[in-house]
Amino acid sequence: MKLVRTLIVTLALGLCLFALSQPTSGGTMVFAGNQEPSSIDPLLMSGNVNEREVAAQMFETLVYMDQDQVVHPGLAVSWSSSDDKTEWTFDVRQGVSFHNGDPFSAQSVVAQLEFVRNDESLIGGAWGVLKPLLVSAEAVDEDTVVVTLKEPRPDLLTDLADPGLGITNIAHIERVGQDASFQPIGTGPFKFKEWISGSHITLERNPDWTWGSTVFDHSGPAYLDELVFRFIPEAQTRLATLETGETHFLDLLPFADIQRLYQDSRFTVTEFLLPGMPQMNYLNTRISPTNDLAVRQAINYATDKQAIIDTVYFGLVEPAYGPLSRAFPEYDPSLENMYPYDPDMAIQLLEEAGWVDSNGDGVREKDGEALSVVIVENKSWNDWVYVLQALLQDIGFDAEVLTTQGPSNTAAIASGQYAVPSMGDVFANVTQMTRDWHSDGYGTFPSSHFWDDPTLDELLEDAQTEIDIDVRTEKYVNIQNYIMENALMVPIFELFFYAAHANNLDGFVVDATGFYKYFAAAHFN
Amino acid sequence: MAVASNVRSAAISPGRQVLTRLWRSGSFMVGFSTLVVLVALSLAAPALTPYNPIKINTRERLQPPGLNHPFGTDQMGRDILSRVLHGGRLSLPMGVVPVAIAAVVGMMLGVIAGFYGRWVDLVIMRVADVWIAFPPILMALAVVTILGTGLTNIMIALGIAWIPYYTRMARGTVISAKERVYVEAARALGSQDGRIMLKHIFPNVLTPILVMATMGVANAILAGAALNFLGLGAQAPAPEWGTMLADGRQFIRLGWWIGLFPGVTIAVTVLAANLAGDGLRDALDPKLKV
Amino acid sequence: MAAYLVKRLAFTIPVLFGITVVVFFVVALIPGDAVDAMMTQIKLSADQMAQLRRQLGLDDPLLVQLGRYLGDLFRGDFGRSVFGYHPVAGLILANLPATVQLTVAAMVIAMLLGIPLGALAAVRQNTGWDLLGMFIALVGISVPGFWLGLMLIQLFAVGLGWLPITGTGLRPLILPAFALGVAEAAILARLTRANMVEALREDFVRTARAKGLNQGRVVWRHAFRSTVIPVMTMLGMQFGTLLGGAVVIENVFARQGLGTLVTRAVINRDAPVVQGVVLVAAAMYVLINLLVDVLYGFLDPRIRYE
Repeated sequence: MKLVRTLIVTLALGLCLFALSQPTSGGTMVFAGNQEPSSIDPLLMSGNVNEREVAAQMFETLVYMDQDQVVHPGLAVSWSSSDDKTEWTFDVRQGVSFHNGDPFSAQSVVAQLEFVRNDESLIGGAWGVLKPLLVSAEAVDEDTVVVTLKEPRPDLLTDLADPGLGITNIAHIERVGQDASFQPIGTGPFKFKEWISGSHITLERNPDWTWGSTVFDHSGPAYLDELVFRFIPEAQTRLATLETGETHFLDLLPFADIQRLYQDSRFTVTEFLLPGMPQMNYLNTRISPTNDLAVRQAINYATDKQAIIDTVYFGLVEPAYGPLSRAFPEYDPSLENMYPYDPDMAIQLLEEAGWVDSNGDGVREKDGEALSVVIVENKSWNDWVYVLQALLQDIGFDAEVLTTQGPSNTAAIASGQYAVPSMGDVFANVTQMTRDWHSDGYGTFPSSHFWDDPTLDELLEDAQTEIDIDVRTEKYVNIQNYIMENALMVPIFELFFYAAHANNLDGFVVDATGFYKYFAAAHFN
Repeated sequence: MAVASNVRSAAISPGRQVLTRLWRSGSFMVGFSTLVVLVALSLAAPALTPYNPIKINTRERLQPPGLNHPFGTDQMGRDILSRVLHGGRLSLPMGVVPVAIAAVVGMMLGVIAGFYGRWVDLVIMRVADVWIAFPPILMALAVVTILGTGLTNIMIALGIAWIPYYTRMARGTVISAKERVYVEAARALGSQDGRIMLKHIFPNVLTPILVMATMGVANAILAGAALNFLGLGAQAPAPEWGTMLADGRQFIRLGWWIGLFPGVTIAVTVLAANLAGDGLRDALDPKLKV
Repeated sequence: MAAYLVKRLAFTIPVLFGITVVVFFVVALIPGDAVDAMMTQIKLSADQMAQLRRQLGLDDPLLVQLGRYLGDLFRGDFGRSVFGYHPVAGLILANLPATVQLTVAAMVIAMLLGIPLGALAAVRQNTGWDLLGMFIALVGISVPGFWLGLMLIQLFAVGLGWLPITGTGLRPLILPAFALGVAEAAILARLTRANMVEALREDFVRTARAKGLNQGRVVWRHAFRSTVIPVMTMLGMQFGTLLGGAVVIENVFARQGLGTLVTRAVINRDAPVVQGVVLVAAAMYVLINLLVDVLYGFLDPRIRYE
């Protein structure tokens, strides 16, 4: 009896050692997100984080980009572009098939791009970026696609690596019609199994998938049998499910609990600096008092970023100084000295501009008009606004916070009626600055500084088609300086994205933005 | 039967018996005096609290309860005791206003339906049937979607949702009171409808409505807290108990006191309103089942 | 009896119709239409917006839209969600069972806790037991449900590890049903006590007790029976409250259900979904109360159906 037990223990130990060197297949991983997607079809998805997280496991993109911004082949094995970056040629992978058995070819890519270009009905956020850019897509032969663009797009590969730009089976969509989005069919490592509305989405291993990108560092089908996405809006409950072992991977950790999780030996916490536009407030130049440069500069000087970071974010994020995250090579560090925290300077600027508290009520006035601003908050995303409000009140502002959520947030920001709307944007491609700053965006979402000067538009248009890397960097440095000199915004902090996972989970790969994870090679140890 | 005995006793010594019963009722006295204390503390909050309930003080953040801050401080360094006391000025109306709206409108509709009967009754009560079918929280969600979020809108929404409960109660009482001899007598003597309603019917209706409303206050405070939890209520940083409790849930591990004290305050207020309602019912009309 | 049933059912139809019309107009009052709601997630040009409005029939007069909505409902078509094109009927069917499960479980817990507590308090009237029981009941109705839910999670799931928070089946149902059912249990306890105290005072019960009949049997046969009907009525009336409470509890526990569905829809202003869920909830309320009325007949032959 004893001998048997010893044998078993030895055997088990051996197996464990073996397991350490060789990832084992099998098991179900549960991912906890914060909001149920409205769609997981790349052609219908909106900007919601959870949608792309799910889609990225079922659909493959033409190329992939890792954390070091290195481009890896995906459904395209190689690519080249014309000198002016308007014509791009892709050689697609051979031997790939969709989950329903349909073969994948150059024609599939053409069908997708033509669908995006022509379909007048809804186009999701990700593919929508490319829509205005496409002139044509042609299959030169079985494996080669030529894409022609309206204007140079030096960063097209970065765009295409967006996990939201998966290649779908257009033939299937045309056969099934509108409801095709409920049985999504891609080429990726996991295929759709079920979506229980209000509860979870389950994906299962695609046994045929052997053509994975080098970014996964893994050949052959995925290790996990199943991948379950659960959506838990209540942050404390989401965290509790990780602690009880009901989920293995947790997104959007509540800042208050991160320190504790770092110390918990059962979990690993990961942090990523998100590229894009840092968390910030636009300063609306169309309305008073923020149409006054002195007021805008004063707001910048009065913003104690460190206080915000310490109070609201437990010191887990870093101050931001301009419209671009420091994750970009185009980032201009000289902006870090432009507006140090200096409330005296802020007061001096206001006084010089004629904003004084003449009636002693604690609020400054000028020509009978009070120094009143409304700060727009998108509920639970902009918790810093209350500290900002207090800081502004300290130097004689009448500052009010307007809390909005979902559509009411979009409406408030697009209306242009509020002086200090809060915003932040995540993108990997620096040219997407245009979306946040070009005057085309006025009255829609998000561009809401309402700067009435064509110079900024010209600078943006010029920079986004620049092919020469050094010249381009120079141009974006110029734009950042233009924005900050005119104080069109108050940068608040660089957003760090914290996630936690069970210690025995390994092998997942993070995309270039740090936002999304690929679970093709994920496995339990 | 219950109503009749009540009227009789009122005729003998108007109100005095009821007052004596209330005075003797332990639960009423405990509940009522707690409510009085809560209202008084809220009204006197600016004088009582050394701290500004809104002012951020980063140096004092997340202090556990102690001598300087008996209820501790929150993540923004604000004194929780001060916030709880000031919060009563927003949260106590949260309990009273919706009930007042529902009770006044509901009672009027119920009295009209019960008094006139026939098609008036039919129309009002069928509308009430439709109305009552909407769960109040869902109704409030729908109204808030139309009017936008905010405390005032929540109060209106809950008020509207609860109207039919009072209508049904009032109508029932009116119908039984209408059959009484003195009403018929007054009618026979040619009294006007308005006079009859005012003199003979309303006093009968008031008793159950008052009991229902007192307990309704408890419900309203809880419903308000729930709507604030769903993020539809007060505008931060204004102190409001439900919002404070909802915000405090982020800090369950880091600072249990942030949510605990507003939560206990809500529970105590609701408890007091329920006790007062119990006592009131026992004193006014022991047979009433609300 | 059959005639009564038919009459009650006939009364239900105009009420259901009224509910539908009210829901339609309430939702029509929501500022911004479906296309505006879409704009928040997908950028559309002015032309695309106009075209979509035509496609969706949002340009038509309200009464035409109401007529179309009623016609579609009659065919079982509740419309489609603004986001992701999910058929609303499908969303409701997928989420309804979970909500029914939760509310029924909460009712069961309420009865299991509330009725014995109330009965105990009544039998031991004016003793320490009575006082303690009624105090527990009062505390039960005074604690906000969502707070109780969060506390239960911390204690029983995270702390002790006894019960899961999410998932399907019986075990993950216990905590949310408890969080939802406690307030109801408290209400039932108070109601049971009040009715039993009254019944115990009735002459025949007093006589039976005086004659030395088995105390338990007397309580069970007479006093307890007379409390069944008020308790049932209360449960029927409280169904709406439970459904409202489920909205909050489902959100706390991230449970599948109409509550989480409607909360998300309200925040996104997804009008067809809000419309559908409110309609179904109201219809359920009406039908449950109809059922309660009918059940009276079986439980209490004294009630005559006119």
